[in-house]
Amino acid sequence: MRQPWKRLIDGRQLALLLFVGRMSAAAAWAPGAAAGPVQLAAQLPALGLELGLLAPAFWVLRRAGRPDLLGCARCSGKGAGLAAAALGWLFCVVQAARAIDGQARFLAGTAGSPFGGPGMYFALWAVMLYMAWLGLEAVARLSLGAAVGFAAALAALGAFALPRLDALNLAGLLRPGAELGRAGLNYALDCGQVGMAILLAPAVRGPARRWGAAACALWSGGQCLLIGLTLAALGRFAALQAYPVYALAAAGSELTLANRAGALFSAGWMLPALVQGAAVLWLGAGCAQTAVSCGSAACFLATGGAALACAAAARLTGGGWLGLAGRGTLAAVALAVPLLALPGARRKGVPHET
Amino acid sequence: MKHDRHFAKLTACLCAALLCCGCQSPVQLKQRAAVQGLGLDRAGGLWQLTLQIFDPRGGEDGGGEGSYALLHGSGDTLAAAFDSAAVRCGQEIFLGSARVLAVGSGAAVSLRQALEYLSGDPQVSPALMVVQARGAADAIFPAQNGSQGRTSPAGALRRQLQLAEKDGRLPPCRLMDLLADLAAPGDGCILPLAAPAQDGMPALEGGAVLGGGALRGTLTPQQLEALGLARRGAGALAVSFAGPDGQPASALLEHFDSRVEVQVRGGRLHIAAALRASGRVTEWRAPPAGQLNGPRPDSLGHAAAGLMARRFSAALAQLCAMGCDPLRLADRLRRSDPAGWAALAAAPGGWEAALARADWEVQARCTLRPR
Repeated sequence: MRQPWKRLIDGRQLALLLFVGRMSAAAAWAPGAAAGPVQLAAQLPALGLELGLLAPAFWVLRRAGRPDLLGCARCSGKGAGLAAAALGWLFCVVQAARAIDGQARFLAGTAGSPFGGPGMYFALWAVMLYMAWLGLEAVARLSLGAAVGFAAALAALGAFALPRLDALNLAGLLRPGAELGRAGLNYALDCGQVGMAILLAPAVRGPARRWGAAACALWSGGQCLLIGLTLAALGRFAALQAYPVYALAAAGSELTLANRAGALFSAGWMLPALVQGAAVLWLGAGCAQTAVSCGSAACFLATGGAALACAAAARLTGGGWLGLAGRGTLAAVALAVPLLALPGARRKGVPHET
Repeated sequence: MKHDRHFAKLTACLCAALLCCGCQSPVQLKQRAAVQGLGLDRAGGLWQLTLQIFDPRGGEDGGGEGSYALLHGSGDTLAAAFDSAAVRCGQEIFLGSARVLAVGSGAAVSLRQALEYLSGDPQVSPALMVVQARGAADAIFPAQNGSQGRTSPAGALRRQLQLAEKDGRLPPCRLMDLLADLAAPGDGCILPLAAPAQDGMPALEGGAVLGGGALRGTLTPQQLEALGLARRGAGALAVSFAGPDGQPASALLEHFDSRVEVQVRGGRLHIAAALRASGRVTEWRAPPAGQLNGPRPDSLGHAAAGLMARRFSAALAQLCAMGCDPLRLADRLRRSDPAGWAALAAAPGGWEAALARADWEVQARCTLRPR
């Protein structure tokens, strides 16, 4: 078995990469009729749950004194190592498929149905695979550009939304209830970045645990800002829109340059999704290399092919199962993989492969 | 370095792909009818559509703002009406450039349905401005003739709306605002009222109150201004009133602050509004001249505040009687007194009946400085 990742990026790059990936999902936020203050309040329990999901893996890593969870699982036994790597690979395939499918649906829902055709699926997949092939460092560097673009877009959105903010739209924000807990759980289980933070730990120079937790807080803050702005500015209109953040941006872009540069406007949404997709494809290829000792090209193609097949199946069947698969595989990576790695983490004197 | 080269290539490819995305299934400009304004009406069970489209060949100043043509379409559904207009002109209808929608009195019943249809179209901006036409919607869009100068009906209407919006004389009338209002309890909204002026171009005439799928009444421009006092945070509002000695005076109000509280007292809705404004005296013809630099602006402020309170009370009385809730009183009550809201909503007649029986008190304070 090979160890495909060395310490390629530093902790800040990891945090930025995860933040950009999460913001790509937040920008295409589609709560439907559930859009309301509870979605903003749910960010707090979601943050707690996400940290709770990170905790078992990070505890095992701390106990092992090494950042490689899959390596620890391998030390537990060949079967455990293979199972852990397979779960990691499956998680990455599903997350990549969600990135492709989600972005294509977003384009179809905002720009028009031709943009959600099979060609768009293939184009998104090809660009993500190419970016993944460039390597994690390259994707991490691109995430810096995407983060800067996102910050600029958020500032523009804020400038438009500020005069329209109405505190009445956030009435009942802190009302506790089952709905709040359910929404928080949904956010936490839909957050693939938690699994990425666990699996990417061996690729990070410095304390991956600390930067993973920092990224968690960072993306929660970003989501609060984006969702809060949207809900406070749009009110009930948000619940009538398929993509409320886009609706706010579309209203704000009237009479601005953004309205004249429709394609570049859409690119602002696409770039973070491409970064997210490329990162999980790279991670999936790494998991595949850890599981079976084959060449990196074969692993990339296998991972990419599986992701494309999943995305295509989601397009044909409606895609509801893809969300469930994402939650299931995330729970497996956050809970089952640390369990598999726990016996290996207890053993002393196992050399750390690099 | 190798990665940087890859990046450069990738960025160039992405930009090229994105900038050329319009080349897929292209529609030539001459095959596209760019809609500037829409008129929607309903008669005999059919949707009647009037579209003002840009026509570079028409008008005195071919290609200028006044160059427009009108398209008409009708159908059982809105989609059929748009199709019918497209078939008649032989062009593809493009709604991305539409900025004004005029709803005829026949379509007021189906306003929500029409707005939801338009909101579902990715081309239509959520910031589209909507007005209620006095009478038929097509009267807002007169056919082009030589005497109408260098503007189009949609352009003229849009300019008036923007100016009124900037001055706070307009209720929130964007597509997104109206759909939010129509989804609220009470299901009502206020639209600017437009009618053809003497020169044939549309002009704003106040507001139309819609609720429960019907046109319930109208508001004067002064009443709309008064309601704006409770919403506005910035802007400027010119008011004319009688000074303390009965002489005419006017002031420009520039800073506003308002507080509206809603409570349930003895089973009845009680509305308490505190309006604050400050500005400067612009005109006062009280003899002897020159006293504006003295202490008199205080008494002028009291007079202006009295006017604000009277206008606001009158507008509130009319809206409560019509069951319309543009100040979001239901939301305020639900936030401040959930139990009281639940009791009122469950009572016979629900929220509208409670609103009709409501009592209120308005306190206004106006601070004016000398000119």
